[in-house]
Amino acid sequence: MDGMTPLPPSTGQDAELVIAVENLRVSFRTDEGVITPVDGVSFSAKRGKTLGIVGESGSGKSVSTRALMKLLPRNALIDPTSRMLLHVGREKQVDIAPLDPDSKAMRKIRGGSIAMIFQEPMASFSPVYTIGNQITEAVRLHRQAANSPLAATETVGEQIEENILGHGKMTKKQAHEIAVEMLHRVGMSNAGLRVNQFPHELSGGMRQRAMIAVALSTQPALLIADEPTTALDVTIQAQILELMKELQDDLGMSIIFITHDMGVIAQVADEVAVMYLGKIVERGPTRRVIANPHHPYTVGLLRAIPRMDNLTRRLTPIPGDIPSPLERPKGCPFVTRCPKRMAQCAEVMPGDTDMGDGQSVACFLHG
Amino acid sequence: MTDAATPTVNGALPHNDAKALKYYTASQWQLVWWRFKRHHTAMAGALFLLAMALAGLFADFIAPYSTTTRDRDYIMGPPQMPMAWDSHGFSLRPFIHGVTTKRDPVTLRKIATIDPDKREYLEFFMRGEAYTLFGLIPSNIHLFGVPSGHIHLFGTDELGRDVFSRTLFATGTSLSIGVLGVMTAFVLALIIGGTAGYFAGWIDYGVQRVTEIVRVVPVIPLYMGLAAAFPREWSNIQVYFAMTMIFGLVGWPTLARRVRSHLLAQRGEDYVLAAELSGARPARIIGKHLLPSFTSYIIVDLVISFPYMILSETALSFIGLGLRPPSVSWGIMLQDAQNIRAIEQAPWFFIPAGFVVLAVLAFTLLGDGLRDAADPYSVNK
Amino acid sequence: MSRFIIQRLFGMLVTLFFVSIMVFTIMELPPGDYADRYAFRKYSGTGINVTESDIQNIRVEFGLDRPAPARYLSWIGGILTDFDFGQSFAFETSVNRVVGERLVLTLALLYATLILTYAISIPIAIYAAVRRHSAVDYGLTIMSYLGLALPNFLLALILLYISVTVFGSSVGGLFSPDYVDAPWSFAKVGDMLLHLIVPSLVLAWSATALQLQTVRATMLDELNKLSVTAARARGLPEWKLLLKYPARLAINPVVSTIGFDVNRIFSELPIVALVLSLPELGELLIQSYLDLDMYVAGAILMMLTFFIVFMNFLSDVLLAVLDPRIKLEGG
Ligand SMILES: Nc1ncnc2c1ncn2[C@@H]1O[C@H](COP(=O)(O)OP(=O)(O)O)[C@@H](O)[C@H]1O
Ligand code: SF4
Ligand SMILES: [Mg+2]
Repeated sequence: MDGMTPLPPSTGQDAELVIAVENLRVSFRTDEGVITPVDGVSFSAKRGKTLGIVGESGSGKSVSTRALMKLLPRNALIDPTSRMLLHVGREKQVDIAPLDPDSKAMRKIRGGSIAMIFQEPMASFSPVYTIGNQITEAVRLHRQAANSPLAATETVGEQIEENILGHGKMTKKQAHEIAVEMLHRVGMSNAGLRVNQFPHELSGGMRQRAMIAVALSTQPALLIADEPTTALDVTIQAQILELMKELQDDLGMSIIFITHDMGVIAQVADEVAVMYLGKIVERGPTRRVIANPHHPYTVGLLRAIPRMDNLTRRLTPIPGDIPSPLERPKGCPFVTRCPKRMAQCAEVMPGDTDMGDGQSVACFLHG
Repeated sequence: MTDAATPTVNGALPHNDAKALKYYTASQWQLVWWRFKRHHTAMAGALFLLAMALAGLFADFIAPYSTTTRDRDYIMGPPQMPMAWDSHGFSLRPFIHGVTTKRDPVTLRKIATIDPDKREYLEFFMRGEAYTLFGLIPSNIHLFGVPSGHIHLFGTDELGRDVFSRTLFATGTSLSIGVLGVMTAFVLALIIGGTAGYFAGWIDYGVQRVTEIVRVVPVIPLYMGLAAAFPREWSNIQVYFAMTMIFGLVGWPTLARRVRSHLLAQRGEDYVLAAELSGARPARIIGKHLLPSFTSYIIVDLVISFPYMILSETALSFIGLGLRPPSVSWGIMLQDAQNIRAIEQAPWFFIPAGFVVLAVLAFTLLGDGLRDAADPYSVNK
Repeated sequence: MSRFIIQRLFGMLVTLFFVSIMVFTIMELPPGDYADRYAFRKYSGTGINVTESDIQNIRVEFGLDRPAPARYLSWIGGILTDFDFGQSFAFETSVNRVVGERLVLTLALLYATLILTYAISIPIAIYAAVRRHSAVDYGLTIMSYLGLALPNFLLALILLYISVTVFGSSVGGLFSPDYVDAPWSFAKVGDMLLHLIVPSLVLAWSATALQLQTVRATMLDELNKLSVTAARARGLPEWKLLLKYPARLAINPVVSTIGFDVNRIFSELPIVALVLSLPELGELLIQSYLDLDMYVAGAILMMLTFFIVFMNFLSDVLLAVLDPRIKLEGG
């Protein structure tokens, strides 16, 4: 049985949007007062493409992507002016922002339209159920029985619509078959055996593969990968990145890839958004941003990549620590650490300046 | 995700740099103390226990009577609460209503009735029965009393003895048995757990087995079995110390387990090896280097094991296998409440039970607070 | 699995062996021996003058003149081969007959208490953890502190007081007067079950308080696990998710502490039984300690411990079934 149906190839130069986030602002009520670790960010992801979000730990990457799935804790508040448009069909869009986290519509989107993988593959699985159990759970929640017209849907949008509206649950046996096939698909040998194993019986790399299998088993339009390789060693990291690329080529889903490592961005992302203290400070096509970084923070992140041609040079991480959201500077968020700061930087927040070719930067050095 | 509430290595210094500096340079004990102070319930528990301990310690002075003084005119009499005013008006000095006794013409038994027209004014620092405080200082000054008649804040028992006075003395006895029991258990745990944890091997195996046995035998039946063996002719003092001994004997394995696991964890650390290489003796290494590394946890364990000792003493004395009259402890006083007829007529026999509950509650709150304070990674659960 | 079970069974036997030595020591602890007490009991007040040689004869008759290890062997041998726990001199019959029915009643009380404890604590604690800072959650905290501070026998006394003063009848006893000496019948069992409610509630009191805290704490831990977020990200409905993931794991510490709960219940049983006059083993244990009827006491101590050890074993096996992470091969 064919468990995986590739999405039809994208039409034209301008790939369709899967998600468009506009002016997302997330606050938390804490003992020390209200903090806003994500402060008005906008980004979008296109079909078959990967958006990389890069930034140091604490810059708000996880919070902004978890907001997309309404997975934030109770003390979180998504600003009502934020918009998170999930594209359903060519013209139709669903705004996720006002949806109730516990609503049926939201549950359909979770796992069905947007799937997520996390940094710790071990902790992502419950230790008391088999890998197969957790895949079939997702499959049965979101996929239709074989005779449903899912395979025939034309576009991502229709497919999402189908996922939201569809009925006709799969049997456990069918779901199990898909689980085995998915495990095979992510490169696990002996998938028929592995499907009945418990997470602790797999190695770290295998667990992350299994996690990818769970996420993609529902044929989501968007995969959010929150530092999926950070906990893995370098060779396995390379294998996983390779696998994700392959699957994206086959299945055509969009990926939002979160990392703190510019080196990884260079390998996987088509576009990149550099995030610092709740703001996107620079964005653009990955090649352009890497070849021609404009923001001092981006420059700093690029310097921290180990380079094959110059292994003797020490990595130069950006000196200093990212401030807590409680101590957000009034002006440019990077002002406390910026080697090029000017008088106005501490007072006024720089706006976005278009640098051409889709690249833009928020820094007084450029505009 | 970093916790925004406390500054962390990643987080920036709080606005007030001086305060932050203080936070970063504080010693471990200062940190524990600061966290503990924020725990209001634990603080309240600590203060309450302090008050209880003082009341027990100075029972001779605070109690108007001794544990055996009988008021034959007021048998099974209800509590008398000092008041500031009655139908005759207001008084600055608190008073109680006096008692008149008549004989029942039929049974010829004396019946005490409260006389609302008779006022007995309270006096403070009044001379009364003689006593020797701590067995050292002879005195006859009592915190309060009434010059004529008697005052019974918690009423009297079947023999006309003052329940308030007896409760104070009982508090002293019960708390001190707890303290001595915990101390005995602690010393045994240190010696045995320390040996087992440090030397590992067969000593460790032996201790593990003993721990296992004490863990599966029901505790109070075990205490009862040991207490049943006390010879009848033993004096009260002997029974008292024998009880602390059995509490220690049964209580050490749990503590020893903790000591042992901490020691096993720390044994391989560099600083222990360094001490060993420089030729320090095991006892010195355990005492000087290892124990201080988890003193705070041990303190928490000790505080937490208190309630079990107190409850066990109460239970044993309650069924007549622990302390025996004329000793007074909470358990002994509660024996009076075993008789359903008695508590029906005199519910104030339950008052010592209130003390037991409050003491255990206070220890539990204190223990919880200390545990949170001692554990830097604790979250408020 | 079978290897694991055999291993645990063996461990259980070793523990029971050591326990039996300790119990025997306790039986031997009181001053004087069985012969002294037997003679005193039998002849005091009868005017017959008992000499030291008479007592010595009794000693020989019961084999008490032999050294302690030999006496231990014949005691444990009797139990193992004939299930014979010796003689009760207070009742002047065999220990087995004295213990008899009380054993069944004790077990009925134990299981009723365990069922109550878990039926109350698990759902409430799970709910309180999910709805943290709700009224139920605060109620749970207060109840669990109270449950630990108010000992069961005091609760029993208070209930007794209330039942006598308010309802004019006692909640004590395990049977209505009509059934006390009646032969066993369905009506008698029903009557007993009804009478079991109050004692098992009293006995469940502190065990419930402890389990409420444990389950709530584990549940809070589990709720914050990434695997729960991951499952939520798969679109599982919330209550289904809570039951399948965190609640399922919050059961594990309960299972692993079954033996501990049984220990606690048996520990509190004698005094509660005394207050509520329940005709079971705990009450008999106190009586036999007071009479120094040590064969009865030893038998009861052995039986109670046996059940604790057995429930420990059961909980080990159950836990191994519930938690695939537990290695079945190793020690
Ligand atoms: N549950 C929460 N409550 C309060 N603050 C939070 C919570 N979760 C995240 N934050 C804050 O949001 C900031 C950004 O966190 P996160 O998105 O996890 O960063 P990143 O993923 O970029 O490392 C952190 O500095 C943290 O202080
Ligand atoms: S705006 Fe100023 S402080 Fe901010 S990055 Fe640019 S130069 Fe640095
Ligand atoms: Mg993150």
